[in-house]
Amino acid sequence: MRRTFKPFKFSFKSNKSIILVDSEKISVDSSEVFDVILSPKYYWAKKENLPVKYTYQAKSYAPSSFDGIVPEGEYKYLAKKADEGYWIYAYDEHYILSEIEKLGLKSSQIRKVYFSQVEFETITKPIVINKNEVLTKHNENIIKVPMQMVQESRSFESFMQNHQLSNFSISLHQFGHLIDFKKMMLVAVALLALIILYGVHYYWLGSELEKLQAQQTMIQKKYKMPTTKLQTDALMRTLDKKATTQMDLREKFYKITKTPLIQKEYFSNISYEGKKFTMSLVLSDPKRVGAVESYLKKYFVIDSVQPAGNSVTFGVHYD
Amino acid sequence: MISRINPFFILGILALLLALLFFGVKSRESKIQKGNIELAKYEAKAKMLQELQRGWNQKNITSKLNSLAQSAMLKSNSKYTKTNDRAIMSISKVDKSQADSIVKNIFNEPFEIKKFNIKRATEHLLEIHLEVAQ
Repeated sequence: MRRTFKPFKFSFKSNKSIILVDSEKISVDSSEVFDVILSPKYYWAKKENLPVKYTYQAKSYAPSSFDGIVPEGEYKYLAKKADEGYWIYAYDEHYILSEIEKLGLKSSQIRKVYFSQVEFETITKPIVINKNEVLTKHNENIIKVPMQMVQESRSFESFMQNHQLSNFSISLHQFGHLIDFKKMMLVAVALLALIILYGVHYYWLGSELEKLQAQQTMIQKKYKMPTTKLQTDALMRTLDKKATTQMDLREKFYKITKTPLIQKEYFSNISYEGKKFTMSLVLSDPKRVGAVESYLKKYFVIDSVQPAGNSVTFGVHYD
Repeated sequence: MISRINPFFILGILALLLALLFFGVKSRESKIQKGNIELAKYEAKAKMLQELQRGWNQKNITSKLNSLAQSAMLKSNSKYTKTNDRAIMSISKVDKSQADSIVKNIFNEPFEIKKFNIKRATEHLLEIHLEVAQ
């Protein structure tokens, strides 16, 4: 049966929980979030006397300093000023995350990650990390040794009672194991390129919209259009109504002139006013009134028919 | 503390920006498409309005009616008067062919005819009375 490592859970102020992670299985509530201290298994650290003044300069030396020492991997580097020289660190985010996840802690449960080399640099007694091993200091290096090799030790929990975590921490690339960073960069570059393209297109479309507005103003001036749509529509309606009224009048007058008259029949008078016609006709026979009336009925509403011998006067209107 | 921004966060921001731009572009494209249609309609309306305004221009109407009254055919037998809102023309003693020509002229011009009368005065002569808005 596999042994399960009960994590050293230390509730700090503001309910922060701290876990020292080595090789043991971690049993924790999946909803909890932890600060993690990495055992030396997860990183490479060495002290160097570098001829530099600033930490960032020391960090730039780190890759060459670890070259050929660390196994193959995607390393990130850090530097921390020491009393003499610098502590430089190399760590592989993907490796750390995958290993921690194998132990039972999800990446989403990790808040900040600390190095035991920094956190335990002041220890006076070895710290127990499991039933068989302790972390101890040897030539300034924090290393893991079998418990039998030390005479006395203290628990991680008791150490943390009086220890405040340093400011030297990292936030792990929580999703780094899902996608290669270079691929992400490619995606970012592609997105940026698209943003630039769409941005330029968006700007160009803006100028096209302005052109449209300018064209409308130009048309308005060229054709002396009223300034508002309301005025334009009102003017249009008035003129249109005039035109329609006159077209109707022409058409109706044309229909009147085409009244089917026979020889010696004629109009003696045609009057028009306000969509009403009054017309007097002389017919060859009074019986012809009906024929003329039925023709007029096709195009007009008959208001009055006044026969007088061979003559007849029609009063008609239209809509 | 060594802080690092989650690349997914950056990608998310970029994707959001791209989405906003995409919808912005689509919205502007649609506005331009609609704008072009509206502009074509507006120009057509402007042309029609100009045509109607020219046609129904009161100065034109008065001068056309006046020139009709002053034409050789009607100079001697027409009377042209104006009131506040109407131009009135009375024509007497025109034969059938002259009457045809006058009526065609009247109905082919953009006159707003308020009142019109054509009357047979004798067997061969006609009288015309016309009132148009001015």
